[in-house]
Amino acid sequence: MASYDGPIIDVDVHNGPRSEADIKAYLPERWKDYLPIYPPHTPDALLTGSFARRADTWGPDGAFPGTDPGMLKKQLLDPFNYVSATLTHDLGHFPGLSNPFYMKEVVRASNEWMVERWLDEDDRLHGVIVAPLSLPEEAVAEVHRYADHPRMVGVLISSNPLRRPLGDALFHPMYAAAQERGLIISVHNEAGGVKDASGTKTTPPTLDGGSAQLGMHYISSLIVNGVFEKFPNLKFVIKEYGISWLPWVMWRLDEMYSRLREESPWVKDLPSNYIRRNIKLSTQPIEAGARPNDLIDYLSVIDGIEDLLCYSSDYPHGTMDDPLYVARILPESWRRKVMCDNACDLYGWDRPPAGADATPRPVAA
Amino acid sequence: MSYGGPVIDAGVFHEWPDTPTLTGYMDEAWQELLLRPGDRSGPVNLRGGKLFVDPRGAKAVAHGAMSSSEKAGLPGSDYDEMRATVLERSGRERVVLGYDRGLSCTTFPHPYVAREIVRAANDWTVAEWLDRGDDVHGMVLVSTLLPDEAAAEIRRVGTHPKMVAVALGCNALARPFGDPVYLPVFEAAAELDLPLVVQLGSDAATDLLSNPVGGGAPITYAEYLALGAQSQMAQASSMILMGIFARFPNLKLFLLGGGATWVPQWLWRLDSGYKGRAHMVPWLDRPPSAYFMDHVRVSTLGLERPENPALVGRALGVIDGIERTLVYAGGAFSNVAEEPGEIAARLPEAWHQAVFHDNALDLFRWPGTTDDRRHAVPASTTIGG
Repeated sequence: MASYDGPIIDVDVHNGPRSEADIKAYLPERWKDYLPIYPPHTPDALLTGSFARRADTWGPDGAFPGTDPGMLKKQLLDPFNYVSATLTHDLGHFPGLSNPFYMKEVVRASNEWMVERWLDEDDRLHGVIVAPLSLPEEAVAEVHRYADHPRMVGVLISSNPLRRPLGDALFHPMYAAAQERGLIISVHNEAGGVKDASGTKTTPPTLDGGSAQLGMHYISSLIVNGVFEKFPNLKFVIKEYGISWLPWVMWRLDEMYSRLREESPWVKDLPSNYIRRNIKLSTQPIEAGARPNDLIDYLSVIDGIEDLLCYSSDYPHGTMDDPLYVARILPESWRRKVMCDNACDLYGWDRPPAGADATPRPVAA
Repeated sequence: MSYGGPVIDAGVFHEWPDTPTLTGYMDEAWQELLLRPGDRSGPVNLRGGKLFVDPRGAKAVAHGAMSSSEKAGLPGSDYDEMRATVLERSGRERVVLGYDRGLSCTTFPHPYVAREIVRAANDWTVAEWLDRGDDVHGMVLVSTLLPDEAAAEIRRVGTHPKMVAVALGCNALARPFGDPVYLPVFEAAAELDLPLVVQLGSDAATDLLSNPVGGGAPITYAEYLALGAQSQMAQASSMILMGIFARFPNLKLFLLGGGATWVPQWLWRLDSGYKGRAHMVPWLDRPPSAYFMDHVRVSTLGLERPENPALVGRALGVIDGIERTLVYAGGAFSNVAEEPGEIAARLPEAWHQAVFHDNALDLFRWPGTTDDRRHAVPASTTIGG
């Protein structure tokens, strides 16, 4: 018996072009023969083994994993009860390109490509807007350009060319635009250009469990910079950093509440309350302790933590979490929330009706 | 819950009061350079610089007042004060002296000055602290700027019976401690059976040259305090994965000042990363968590303070045997100090004896125990080969 047969919303599925030419087709002539669309690897990225993909996601014709919408539907959307999959590029780190004028065009091309080659394919597919982050004003314009698309649900940050923690005021104009247009901010792991604590690594971030550090600091940064006071309706989803570190971060930040208020008087509420109101984490890669209940016991030191988690598969990456695997780890009472309802709350959608037989569609609020 | 048994305090932060105290342990040439006789601006400040200053400032003010290098009264700088306020309290059977701000002096930009600072600090500690009380023990302070010099310093003063550990100072080369550049330091510590200490303290970032937290420098001291344990996670991950403990099977690491409830999630993440990528670290013969249990100890200093104190034990308890890895450190003279009773109230009673006493007894190289504890270093582990 399946661990879960209700509706599934998957907030992190990776899609890429079959070849760079697919996205370059959307570039103005002036840039078509310039440089590759993906930024060069940073030393840290070289350690990630970033081409690790599930062996069974390669196309029969040799298509690179995540490049064929038909295969995505066949492997993920159809066999499971998918209501929605949010496509987040692979990894959409175009803003890391060093020439900002080329970068801006690549970003726009990637958004056009997302709409035409993916979102138009299936109404269960949703997308995030890539924004030219090193050009804050252009980022605002790009958000507005795609905000009306009914299946663009958010703005992607999977690269951090400004190398500033994400609460920094440089990001605020884009956050204002996102809030105004009802879009969420989708922060994805390996946001290039910034490092874990303590300098250049000698081992891969995915091996040392350390990459969650960025997610932790980004949360504190949003709070101390007053992002949720300025933009109280703006929601963030922090993706692919795992989830088990969240209780520690909530405890530590709450412990520092009085200090936070002294240094940042605009912090008006307990950090954990901001987190509860404005932040969700995607579940992948979900952690496992020695015993089946260890993870849940550890998470449960925070009451209601199950309301802050949204299922993500990370298809087609090698560390993908199958929906039924995740559902099996979760207590029964958490399943529907994590697999579906929390993502509805995040996106401002009506929750699909109860019952597994329905094939509900999210309704734009 | 209270605890009435014997206490070993693995973290009392003593500080040299001023530059002349330290230069008193240097030879004349260094004294002339650093004291700058005749220069109205006074001696070079050997109190060290720092990236993160506590705006609440009790301690910062004290340090600021010291810049005149004449006033006394820097917390932790007086032996008799330490005796009266720390050793005579709460059943402390013995203490281990570490440094707080002194750690940051180990990254003094001039590497040979940094070397002289740690030499003088160690000699000052021996003469004015360790030699004065049987129950007072020290850590060899090293600068990692020059790993060979650090190794020499460990061999020079690490043989003193009252030196029970090595304080690694800051990460002076901005490379995590698993990097082979630091191997001479670890070799010397293993040879003398001294555990390594990586500390996060009020003013003492484990890491001054690269960021103490991931994703760029935090803009507030509160964030630094909240998340600073990330540097300990990074350092311990690096040392475990790069095979430092596979190479030196008797070497121990003590993570001081960064709290503890982060350990379970970090171990799970380490192990799951290892599961898929063990081929990248072929020198490990078991999962990272096994090396942690055998080699790494975590202090109670900075132990998390949720509203419901019972949750601390519950969060830690998801790792079997975690109570063997926790070591009480009071942090006297820092802004995060906690007495045994405060820590006891947040930990299961069954753990108390281990946490307040027994684990520290196993961790440090106490006087008279060296021969029993020292193990041969097997030559068979090849790292990077």
